[in-house]
Amino acid sequence: MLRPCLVLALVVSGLCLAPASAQVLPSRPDDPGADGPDARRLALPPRDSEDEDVDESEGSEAALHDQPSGPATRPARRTSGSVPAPGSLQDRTSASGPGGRNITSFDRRAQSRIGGYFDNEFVQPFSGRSTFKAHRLILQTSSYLHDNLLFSSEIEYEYGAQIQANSGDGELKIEQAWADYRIDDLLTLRGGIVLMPIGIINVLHDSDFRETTTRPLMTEQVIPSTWMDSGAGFHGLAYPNDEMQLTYEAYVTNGLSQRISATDGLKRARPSFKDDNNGNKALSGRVALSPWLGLELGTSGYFGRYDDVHALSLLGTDITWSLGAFELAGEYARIRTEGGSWLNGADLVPVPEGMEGWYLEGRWRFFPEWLHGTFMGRDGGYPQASMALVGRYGGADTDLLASGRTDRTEMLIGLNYRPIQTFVAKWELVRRADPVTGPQDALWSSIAVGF
Amino acid sequence: MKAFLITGVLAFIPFLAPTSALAEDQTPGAYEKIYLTLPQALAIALPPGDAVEERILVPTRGQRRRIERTLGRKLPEAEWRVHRSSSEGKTTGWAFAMDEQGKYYPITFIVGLTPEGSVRDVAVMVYREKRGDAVHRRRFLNQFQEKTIEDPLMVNRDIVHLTGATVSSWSIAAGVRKAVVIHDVMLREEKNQP
Repeated sequence: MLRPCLVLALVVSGLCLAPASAQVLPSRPDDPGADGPDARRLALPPRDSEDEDVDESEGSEAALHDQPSGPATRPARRTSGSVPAPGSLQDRTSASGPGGRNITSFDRRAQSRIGGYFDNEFVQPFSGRSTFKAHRLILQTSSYLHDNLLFSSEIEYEYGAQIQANSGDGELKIEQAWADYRIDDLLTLRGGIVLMPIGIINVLHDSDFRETTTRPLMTEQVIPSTWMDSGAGFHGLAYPNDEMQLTYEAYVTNGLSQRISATDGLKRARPSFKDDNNGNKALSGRVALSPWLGLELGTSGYFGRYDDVHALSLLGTDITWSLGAFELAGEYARIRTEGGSWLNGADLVPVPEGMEGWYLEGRWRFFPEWLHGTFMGRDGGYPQASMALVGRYGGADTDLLASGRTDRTEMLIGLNYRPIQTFVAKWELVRRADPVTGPQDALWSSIAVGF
Repeated sequence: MKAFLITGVLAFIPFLAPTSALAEDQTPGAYEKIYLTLPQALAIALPPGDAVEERILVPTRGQRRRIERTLGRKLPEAEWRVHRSSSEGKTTGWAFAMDEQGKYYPITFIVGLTPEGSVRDVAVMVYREKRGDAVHRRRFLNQFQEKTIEDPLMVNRDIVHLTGATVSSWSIAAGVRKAVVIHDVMLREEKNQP
């Protein structure tokens, strides 16, 4: 009994191995490893072997000296295999490939990478019960299909993505999924589910990137982060001179729905990715000028109808200013609508005619020298360890005509520690005055990891 | 029963092959952007018109210990290749062409120092990552000029990193700091010697 089973298993294994090897081996010329030595040819001597030092040093020296004395910069030379060999559709669907006639990821020859970020929070409200929040697990998949063709996506699992299980209070959503067609630095076409290019946080919202656990108050209702929409547009950058950098993004999208309210601002009006509630498209964009490294000034705008009749316009400005260990970041946005109302069940909800939000956040990055002598710094293997002291003040008013009844303010002081730049532990005290829901003072802490 | 178990285990083995193939695909390929050849880089890092010679610096055990202690990290290199410029026998500058590990691949760049050890200029020679090549631009590199051994030469302290090229910014700052410290320990005394 044992022998026939073994033979059967080996045969099955052999059958399975064959297509796998057949797929892997022919791809070797395209594999990054195949061109690895060539790619490193111009690197100075590696530091881990004296023998290699001599060999590669000679190669490196010769190669560097042998470069033509013409233009110092020459176009990037592809040394990896990210451009698929032109395989016909017939090859892909051949039954002899992995997965038989089904198309598997082994048939996709693009150079892909999986990354993402994760955070887990603990909140202790001043009045109320404490809780851990398994807030976000984000998976990002990006593929270079060609030097100038990029696909990228971001899938978010919030609160364990328990949509139909247990508590049912999780979320699963696609925050970004777009394709880029780059013509040059100045012009890249983009289509898909895009992040609205308004302000700073809505685009740079990753938990490991942010210095605090909580996002600024204005990003909850006025620029509801993360605000994304389905559409198309373009982005690019230019260097007018040695010091200056100019970037822009501009999109046409379905636009916000009419579910705008003084309670939630624009949060519930974020659009469907399936259908536009009106035939009019929205325009959005941001232009940012960095006159020198460390200072960036941005201006954002949005215009679109949220129902068949009424339009909303948004104008925002933002600043990021780094001065050595100090950094200042701030945003301001003001929204005007043409009013109207919408039905929420049996209730008629008026659309507020004006909103605004702002914040200013100061950061001081440091790391005490004595901590380098502990497990938290150099002695722990973290030469780039850093800490940041953060202070923030901001506000959001979701109905400017409501005489202060919707005027919320926020004050925050926090500290964080990063052994490396993509792993951060954060602690902060947040005091929020909210006439709609009452005070929301709390201690927050979290860990966030980018991977 | 035993036979079925063995069958099951053996049947599972083939799935390991595609898994490792997938892991290989996670490593992005190298791109090379060659901005400067060595002679071009030396022309930026050293005063124009001076004679240039190459030297190999082999640290004594004590020098290596001082360098590593100052930098707070171990250095795997046994020696360093530098270029010295001179005029009428006097040193006018030093240039360190070096590799520092970027996110996935080494970045090759040159650090030019004055005889006193302050940074004259920094220039990227070869960049191999797909993103982050803006570190070769003057708006990033200019901030290193005139830094000395007294400066931290660290991102978030006196160096502003580039968004989207954070690791490359750290790497270049670490390399410039290394050149300044090696100069301080091994070359400072040589400034007036032929």
